[in-house]
Amino acid sequence: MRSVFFATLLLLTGAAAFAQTNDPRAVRIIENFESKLNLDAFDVTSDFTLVQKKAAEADRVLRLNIYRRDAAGLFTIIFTYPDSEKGKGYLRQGDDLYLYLPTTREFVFRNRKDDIGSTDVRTDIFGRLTNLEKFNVRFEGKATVSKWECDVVRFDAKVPDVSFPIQKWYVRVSDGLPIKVENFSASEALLRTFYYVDFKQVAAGKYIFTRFLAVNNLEEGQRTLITVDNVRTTRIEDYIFTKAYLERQSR
Amino acid sequence: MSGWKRLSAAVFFILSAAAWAQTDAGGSGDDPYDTGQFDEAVEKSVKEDEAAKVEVLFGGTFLLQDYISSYGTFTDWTSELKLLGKPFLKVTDPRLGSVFLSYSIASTLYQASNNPPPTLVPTDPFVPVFALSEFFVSFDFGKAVFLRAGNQINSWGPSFFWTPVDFVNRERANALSALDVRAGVPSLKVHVPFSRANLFLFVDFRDTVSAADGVGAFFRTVNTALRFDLTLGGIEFGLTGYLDAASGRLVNKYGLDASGNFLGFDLYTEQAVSLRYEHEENPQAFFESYQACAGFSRTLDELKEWTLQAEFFYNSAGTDERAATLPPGAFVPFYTGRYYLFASLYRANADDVLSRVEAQVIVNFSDLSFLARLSAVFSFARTLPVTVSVSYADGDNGDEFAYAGPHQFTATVSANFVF
Repeated sequence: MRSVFFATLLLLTGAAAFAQTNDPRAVRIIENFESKLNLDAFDVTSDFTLVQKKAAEADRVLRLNIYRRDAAGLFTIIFTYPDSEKGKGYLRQGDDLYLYLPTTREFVFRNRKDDIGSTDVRTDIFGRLTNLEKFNVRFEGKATVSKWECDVVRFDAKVPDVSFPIQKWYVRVSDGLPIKVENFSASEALLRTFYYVDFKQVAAGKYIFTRFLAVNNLEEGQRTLITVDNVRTTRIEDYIFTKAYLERQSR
Repeated sequence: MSGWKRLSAAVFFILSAAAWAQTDAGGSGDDPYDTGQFDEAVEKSVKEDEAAKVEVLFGGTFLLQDYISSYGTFTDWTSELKLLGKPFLKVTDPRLGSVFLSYSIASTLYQASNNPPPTLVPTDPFVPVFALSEFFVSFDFGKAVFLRAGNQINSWGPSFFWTPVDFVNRERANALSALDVRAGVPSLKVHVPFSRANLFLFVDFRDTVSAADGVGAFFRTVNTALRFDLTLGGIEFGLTGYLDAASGRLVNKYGLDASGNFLGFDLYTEQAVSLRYEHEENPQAFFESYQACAGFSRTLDELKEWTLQAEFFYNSAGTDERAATLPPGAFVPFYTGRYYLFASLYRANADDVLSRVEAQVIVNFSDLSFLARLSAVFSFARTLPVTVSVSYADGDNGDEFAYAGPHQFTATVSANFVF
C-alpha cells in the first residue's frame, strides 16, 4: 500500500514538474522570433496611428510617438492626437510602468493589463519581448493562418503582471515571425486576437511591425488598427526616458 | 457526384469558410492580412476624423458629497450635503490654438448642526457659488514659443501634498479634496522648450488693480516668475524665482526642486525661501521664511496595485500655537504648523467593484494633532462610482485637526460624475 502511495506521489510530482517545464521546441521558436523583434543594438523612434472601430460609433483616431530602447528595457509613449488625449503618456523603466495624466499632473503606476488609450491593445506590444520570463510555453502543433503554415505555441503565465494569462502564438514557419496571437482569460475565454499584418526590416535580421490589428472578441465589430510610420533607428537622448520629459510634453 | 456527396461537400465548404472567417478576421469577414484593405480602412478613418478640424470638448467633474461629523464626546455633531462641480469647455483649432473655460460651482443643499463649529460657515442653499476657475487662450509660434494668456492655474514642482515652489498659485488648497477649487491667476505664460530643458516666464497681473489703491502703475504692480528646469542623468532639476515688483507685499521667493527614481523609489524634494526685505513704508516688515518638503512613492507588488507614499514638510513660518488662537484669517489648513507628515497606502483595482482602497494619515508635529482616514471607492456597473470614507481627527481642543473639538469622527459618502 505504501509503495502505491509513493508511486502516486512520484507520478504527481513528476507531472507537476513536467507542467512547469518549458517545451524546448517552443522555447526555440520564441527565442527565434524574439531575437528578430527585440532591437537591442539600437534605439527606435516611430509614429503610431491607432484607429479604433466600434459598431454603430464613429471611428476614433489616436496618434502616438513611441521611443524604444530595448537594451535597457525602456520605452516612452506620448499621445499627440487628438487634443483630448494630448499630453498623456507612458514610461516604462524596467519593471515599472507609469501613466502620466496631464489634467491632474499625476504619474500613476500601471501594469501590463492596461489598454492603451482605451483601445484594444495593451502596452507590452510596444517594447522588448520577454515572454520566457513570464510564461511557461508549450508547442501545440501546426496550423494554417491565412495562407501560411504556422507553429502554434501556447503560453501560460507564471507571473501575475502579464497582458493576458493564456496566449496562443501562431509563428510563420517561412520566416519565424509571429502573425497571430490569441489572448485568453484564465478561464480560457477568447478575449482579443492580435494580427501582425506586416513587418518592416530595420536592420539585418531585425524587424518591426508596421501594420497591426487587434480584434476584441467580446465586443462584436470592435477592433483597433495600427499603422507605424517614420521608423528611425538613430540614438535617442537619455532624457526622453524620464518622467520630466513626459510632463514637459503636456505643457 | 451523388446527392449525398454534393451535400457533404457543400456543408464542408460552408463550415470551412465560416471557421476561416471567424479565426482570421475576428468575425469581420475581411482578410486581416490584406494590406491594401488595411491601409484603405485606416486612411478613410483618418480623413473622416481630420475633416472635423475644430475640436470642441465639453466635460467636467461633479461631486455630490454628504458628511456627518461628531466631536467632543459624541454630543456635538454637524452634517452637510454639497454638490460641487467643475465643468470645462475647450475649443481647439489645430492650425491656430485653443480657448479653455472652466468654472467651479459649489451648491450647499443642507447644513445641520446642534452646536455649529467655527469652521462651519452658514451658506444659503438657494445661492450656489460660481467662481471662474480658468479662462485662457493658448497658441504657439512655430512650435518654438508657446503662449498662454488669461486666468490660469499653474503647477510647478514635483511634490504631492505640499508644494513649496508652486509660487504662482501658492499651494494646493487641500490635497485631500476631490476637486481642485483654486482660482486661476490673471497672467501671461511664455514657455520655450529646449532639447532637455524648459524656460518659463510667468507675468502675474493679480496686483495691477486693488480695491484699496485702484489701478496701479504697470511696472510697480506686475509680478514676474521665472522657472528653468533641466534633466540630467534621469533626474529633473528645477529653479524658480518669483519677484514682486510692487514691493507692497514684500515677497520675493526662490525655489529649488529635484525628482528622480532610485532603487524603485520615486524620490522628490522641494526647497523654497521667501525673502522679505525692509520696506521704506513698513520697516517692521523684514522677515524671511523657508519651506521644504521631501517625499517618496513606491509600489509594493508586481502588479503595481499597492502603493506606499509619504511626504514630510517643514514650514519655518508655521507656529506651535493652537490654530484656534490665531488671528482671523491666519489659520490656513496644512500650512499652520512647522512640521508635518503625510503618509498613504493604497490599492488600486482591488477587484471589479472595489476600485480603490486607501489609508491616509496626516500629522501636525507642532501641535501633535492628527487626521487618519480610510476610504474606499466602489465602482458599480452602469452607475456612478461611490466613495465612502471614515476619518478620525484628534488633538487638544483648538489644535489644527481638533479645531472644532477633539475626538472628531467623520463619515463621508460621495458620488463622482466625470465626463
